Amino acid sequence: MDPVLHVGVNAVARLQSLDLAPRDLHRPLEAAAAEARLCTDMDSPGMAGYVFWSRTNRFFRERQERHGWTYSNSQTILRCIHPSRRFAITAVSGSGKVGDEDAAWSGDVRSKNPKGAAVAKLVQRNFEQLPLFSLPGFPVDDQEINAIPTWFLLYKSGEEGLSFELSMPVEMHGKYVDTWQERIILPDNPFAGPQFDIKKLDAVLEGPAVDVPVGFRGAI
Amino acid sequence: MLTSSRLILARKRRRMTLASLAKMSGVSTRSLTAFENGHKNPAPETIESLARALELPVSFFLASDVDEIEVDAISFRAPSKISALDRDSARSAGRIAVEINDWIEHLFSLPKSDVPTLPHLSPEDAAERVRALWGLGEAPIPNMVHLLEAHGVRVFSLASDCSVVDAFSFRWQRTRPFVVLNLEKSGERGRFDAAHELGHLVLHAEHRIPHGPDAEQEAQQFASAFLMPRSGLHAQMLHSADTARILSAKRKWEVAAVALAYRLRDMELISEWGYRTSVKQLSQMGYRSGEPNGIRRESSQLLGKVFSVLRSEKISPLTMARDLNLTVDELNMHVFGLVPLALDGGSEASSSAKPQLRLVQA
Repeated sequence: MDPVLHVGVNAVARLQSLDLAPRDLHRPLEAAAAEARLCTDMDSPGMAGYVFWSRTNRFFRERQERHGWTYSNSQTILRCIHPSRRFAITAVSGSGKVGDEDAAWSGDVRSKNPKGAAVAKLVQRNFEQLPLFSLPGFPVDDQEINAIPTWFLLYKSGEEGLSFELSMPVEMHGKYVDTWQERIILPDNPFAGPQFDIKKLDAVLEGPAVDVPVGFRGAI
Repeated sequence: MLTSSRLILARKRRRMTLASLAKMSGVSTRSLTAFENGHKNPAPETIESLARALELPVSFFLASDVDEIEVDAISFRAPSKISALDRDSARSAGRIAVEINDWIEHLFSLPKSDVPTLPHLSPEDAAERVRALWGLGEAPIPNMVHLLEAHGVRVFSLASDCSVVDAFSFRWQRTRPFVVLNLEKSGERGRFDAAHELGHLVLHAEHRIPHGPDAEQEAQQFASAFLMPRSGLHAQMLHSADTARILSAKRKWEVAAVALAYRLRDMELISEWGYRTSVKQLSQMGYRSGEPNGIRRESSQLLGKVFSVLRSEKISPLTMARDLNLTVDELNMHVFGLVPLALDGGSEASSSAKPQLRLVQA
């Protein structure tokens, strides 16, 4: 199967086919970023990243739970499972060209942190299951949560803001997930720009000074 | 010949009743009443006694008639806590500020007013509209006083003997906007006061008078929305912000921590419980009565430039004060203390001019 990139209205349509709207991704990311920002230097190093990861998954699950989605923490992969049980989504921190539609299918966008055997197996199953996944009525065994194709909601916070995409991983190189079968990049990222760098949200900006023009008419 | 309106203005400016002025000047209450009513004209030595008691030059009382600022034109916060004497004193200080401004405008071309009047809008919408009209976007406002001045509002300082009043604003002769600010509060609260008064000028115009608790509440909401725009706070991701985050985030907007907490609650970014907890903690840390490690108090750019030009043109503050029939000390109270302290040394530049030093809290 050739890889597929969804951008613009196609991205929104593809998301809709997964029973999701853009705000279903925006809101959890926004709330999780706010919580991550509560971490200070007095927290353990890496705490902000951990909070961001955990809370993105939690807020996404809480949001979708009312629509019948369920969840699983099996093998420490925080999946939110579609009511049909035909696919799951997990939020994962990314690195490289996350959210960049010009990124190559392999190598340019990757998981930020090294992944273990469970994720390797999940990615392998994604690769194997995807042809079946495209068939209507694809059956899923209740016991086989780990066999469900799993999308990665990749997010990355940096000086350019908070970028994200929903992508289907199919291959790893070394310990990093870095090859994608399908990428959904939504238009109009509301978190684009340096003001959304979660490390600098409270930065005091040096704006242009206000000039009050005063002209002397001459002595009386 | 004494100008009765000026005697009334001076007496109110000094927070004096007829009885207290009588005691200070040695002139009977009955005579004072007659002078103020214009039924009787005092002898020159009586005018001198009154001038001494009221700490103003004799010329002040002999100059042309002055109209008072209408009572309805000004809104005072917590009016129940402000006595009539305090209100009149502040109102008279505002009138002197108008005189000072007239003198400046005679010599200088200054920005024309482009403060919109939006009495039909909600405070939040009006704040957004003014931001849009003035091209401010969602960014923090670097300096409220300079912003007002750039848009034609004349900003003066409230004399220190009127410190019970926070700030007030009015449109002189229904057109020219003035804001008068108390300099004794923290820099953050001073910015909020300036935005609050802008709220009155914008919202309480035309058919709406700036009076009553509703008007005050609206001006507060306007100030809050103007200094901390909704989109800007959303962008800052302050959802569920705790006290530490509020203290970090407030630096960006240069507002009081309590004001930011209030705004976050108003926008439902923090819960009522979260708000109460934060305000309690902020109180314990001293953020109710002041703003520890706060910003510097904003001052006037316009007046700074005016005094700079006057100095270079060798027009001394004493000349200015004489033209205005004021003392230099009285003049200085209304202009952020910006009157240069250089001695009036004719054409020779004074090498002993004292620098303007200010005690800044570390």
